[in-house]
Amino acid sequence: MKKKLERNVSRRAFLKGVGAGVALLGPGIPYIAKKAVAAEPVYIGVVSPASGNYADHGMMERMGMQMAADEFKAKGVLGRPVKLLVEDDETDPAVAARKARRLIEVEKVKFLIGGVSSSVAVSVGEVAQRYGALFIATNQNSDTITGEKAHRCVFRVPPDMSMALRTLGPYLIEKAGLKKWYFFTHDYEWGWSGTRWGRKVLEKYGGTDMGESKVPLNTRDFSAFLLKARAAKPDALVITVGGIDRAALMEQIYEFGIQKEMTIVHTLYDYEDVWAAGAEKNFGIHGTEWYHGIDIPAVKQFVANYRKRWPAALIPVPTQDTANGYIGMRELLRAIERAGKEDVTAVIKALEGHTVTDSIKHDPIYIREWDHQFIWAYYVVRSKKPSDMKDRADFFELLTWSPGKDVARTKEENPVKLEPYPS
Amino acid sequence: MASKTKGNRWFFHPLWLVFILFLLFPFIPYIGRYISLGTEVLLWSLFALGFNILLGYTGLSSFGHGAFFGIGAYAAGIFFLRVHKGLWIPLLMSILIAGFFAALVGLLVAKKRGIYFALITIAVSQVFYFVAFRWEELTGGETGLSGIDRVNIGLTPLLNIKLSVPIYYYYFVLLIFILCTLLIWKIVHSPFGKVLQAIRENEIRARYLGYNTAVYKWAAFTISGLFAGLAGGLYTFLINSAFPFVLDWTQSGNVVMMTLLGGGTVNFFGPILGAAIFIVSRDLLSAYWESWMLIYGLIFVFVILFIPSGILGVIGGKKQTILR
Amino acid sequence: MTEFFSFAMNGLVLGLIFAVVALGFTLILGVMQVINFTHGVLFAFGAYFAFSLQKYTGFWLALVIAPLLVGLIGLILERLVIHRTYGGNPLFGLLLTFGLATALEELIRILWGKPGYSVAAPRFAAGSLDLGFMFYSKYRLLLAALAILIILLVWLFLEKSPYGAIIKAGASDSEMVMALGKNLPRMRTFVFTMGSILAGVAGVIAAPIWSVRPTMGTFILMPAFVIVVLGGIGSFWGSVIAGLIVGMSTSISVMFWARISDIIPYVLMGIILLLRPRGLMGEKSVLEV
Repeated sequence: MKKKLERNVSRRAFLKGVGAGVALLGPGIPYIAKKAVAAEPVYIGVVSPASGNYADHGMMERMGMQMAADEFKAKGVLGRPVKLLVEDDETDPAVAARKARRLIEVEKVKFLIGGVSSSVAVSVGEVAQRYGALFIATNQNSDTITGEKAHRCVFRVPPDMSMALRTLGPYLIEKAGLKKWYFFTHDYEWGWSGTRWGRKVLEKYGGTDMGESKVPLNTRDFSAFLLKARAAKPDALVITVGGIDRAALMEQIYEFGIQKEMTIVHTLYDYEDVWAAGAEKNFGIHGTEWYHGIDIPAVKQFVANYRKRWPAALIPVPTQDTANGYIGMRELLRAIERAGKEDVTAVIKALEGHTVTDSIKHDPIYIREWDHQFIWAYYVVRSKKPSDMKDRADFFELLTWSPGKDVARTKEENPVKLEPYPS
Repeated sequence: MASKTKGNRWFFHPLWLVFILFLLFPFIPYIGRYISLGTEVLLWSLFALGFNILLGYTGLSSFGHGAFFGIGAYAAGIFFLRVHKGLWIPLLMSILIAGFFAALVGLLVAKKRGIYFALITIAVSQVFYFVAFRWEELTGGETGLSGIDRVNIGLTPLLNIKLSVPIYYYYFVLLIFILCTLLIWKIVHSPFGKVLQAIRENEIRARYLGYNTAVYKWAAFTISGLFAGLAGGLYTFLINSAFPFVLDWTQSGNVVMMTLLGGGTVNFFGPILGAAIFIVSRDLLSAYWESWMLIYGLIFVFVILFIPSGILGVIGGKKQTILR
Repeated sequence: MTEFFSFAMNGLVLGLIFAVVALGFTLILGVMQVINFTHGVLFAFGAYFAFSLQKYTGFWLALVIAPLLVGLIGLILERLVIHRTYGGNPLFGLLLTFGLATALEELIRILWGKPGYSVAAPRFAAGSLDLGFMFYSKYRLLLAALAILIILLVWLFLEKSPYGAIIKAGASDSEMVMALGKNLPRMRTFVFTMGSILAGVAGVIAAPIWSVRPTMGTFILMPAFVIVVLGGIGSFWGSVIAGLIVGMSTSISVMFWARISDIIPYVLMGIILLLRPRGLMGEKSVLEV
């Protein structure tokens, strides 16, 4: 009896061993095969959402990144081809961190780019810093990424909320005469920073704070907040709410007719969200990072290139995410070229303090060395009435803009200390 | 008396094979580079093994154990950041606090069966998720906690191990895994474990035999919660962060899937195999196809329908008795 | 206080949507003991079908056709896959529907793409109504009316039609129904389809106010669980009343402390489980210990 048991155990153990071995080794086989064949490209790890709440933003930024990578097709970088390794971060910081670790540990990638969600950027930035890789955060606007959670190995392309509100705020108060503001604050990091800077601007320019509603994440029903806002009778409803919550909010603002009683202001309006809401539900004055209708040759060219490259795209024009993805990728590749080698410290130094003259905004980009923030313009737009739209994508009319350097945080406002360069 | 040692054949025991495999993992070409994946497989295996005490051995379908994993994860993180920047204390806290809540919830569900058991465990895990998400002051909210470093550990001034180096941490987790696996083996092969299996086969009969089945079920629930908490704490130190997404109910679904896939309902080692396959495949799938969740869902369905005994069940020829 | 009244109205509307969803969920759970994880994604399908149809058929026809399409999906799922889980451990059905829900949500992304969409409310219901002491959204009033109508139709069916009576009995005690020798497989298919239709129609009417996204189903799935436990598995009035309670308490708690409004339903559920485990109106059945 005992003997039979032993034999069974051995056989089971053997099979188990084989099974586990195959499970662990198996996935490695296609990789091993792949590596053996090609010449060594420069790998860029793209950690971007393809599922989850920000999937549409992820899609737009990846299209921009691809456009930038295409520009290097002929010459390559450091004489080698550029290869993008794209991973889905599922709009989940834990998944993003895992993908980042995999890219670094297994694929030996030194350069990461992407993010969209602020928490994803924080988590990937942390991984990059720990492993000594470089991360370009392309589409997050929370102050912390170049503030409390700033790292030597992280750079951030889009503006933060100080740049947003210091451009938008003065226009609202002085040019549009909207002095009484009621805030909708998405109850997390990004929302708080929007309202915080909003209040600073209000105070500086002599406006009045009519109150605030903190909107928890994943709110479906805004009617309570809207009714509170209505009761406060402000001139402007200053909204720092994003993602899918914003979409529901716009539906309900329209539903209750709030836009007829006060001006709707989004402190940072993403084109993907306007697109989702549609022409009927587009109203107010907003801040935005970039708009395809900006009337300068560089933008026109970029839009034309986008249309040529992606004729079948769901959104027929590039968005600010596309622009940020493009610039982020392009400057990263150029920096690697300037550094002359695939070394993270060298590339960081090539980025710090660099000025990009061929930007796709009105001003050049200055890559600030002490907080790794890309300093460039922020825009104020007005929503067009459906009858004024030139085509189905023409949602906004450009009102004004501020050069990045006029509105970015100063060293006093942002006492950040970056770590030493990775060895 | 548990017949583990079979005279001079004991070193072929599957436990040692498993340990040796994990010992050698970092040396496997190419895939061995992915150290953090290996560490993750280890701690999820730990989670799944503990969970299997409840699912495979007692036959109770908790769909909310992800909560205890998450509680352990946050406990470690919060203790590290707010109380003591060490390793042992935060990990101890993971175990104790997760165990505490598991004991509490266990009281609530020990007398329930079937659907109510499943529904309550799902709902409870949701409550913990929302608490983690909303109670920003404690948990960091949506952004979570970060900056949770792995400190150096050392018994003497000479033996100082820098756990921040990924491979050292891998072996540290492996050590804990080995100890826990042996412990779980002892538990399920003990008289206590036999009672659990009796409850799985026929609870009413077990009660007639004089066993207070509610207490045993509660114990199984709590013990699996303790291991879940430990795994969570180890995970926090792996990724140096804690996020509310670890508490999402889909994580609870994942651990059930792992346990079933490998054959946990019929084989002690099922959870380990399931965890390895699940984590590796999930990473692989998502790299190759953007819409991989479609395949993942369908595979899930396939496994549930056609191989509920899991892979080891199919190989070993044993049939499970829990589903259907 | 007009403010309180608005919150209460919102709570009522929310509660009615929940009630419609929970009704489908509780019937499926009661009759087949299946915890239908796909209920959330079926809700989403309702909204998406409405979005696609609306361009061609307008709101009202979409309101009729979309739920039927969702019912078709439910029918297919039931016939192909779900019926294999009957009679077994509830874990079986739960896991199965969990896997299906994951796959189906991804299918929505594949078919309709990742960007969000907007469904327009019918013209006459756009904007707000002057009720004298306050303004309220016209569409929400319409929504409330539609939801009440649907609930009424379900009630009529369960109470007044012979087939409905069997289903109602089966929802609280399927063993008894089996003993009566009715065609059980056909009834189960019917119930699943009906539950799917209810999820779908809830999705259609909620779409104009919640916006259409692939993940929209997750917001009603968990509350559905809670409502069903709170109200009692298989009970019609249990679902309706618990749905309203959950809707109202969620909405009103936003007035005082928005952060905890998600947790309120679970707290209620916890209280009920301690005091009256079978739910407010549930019947003691084999589901319990």
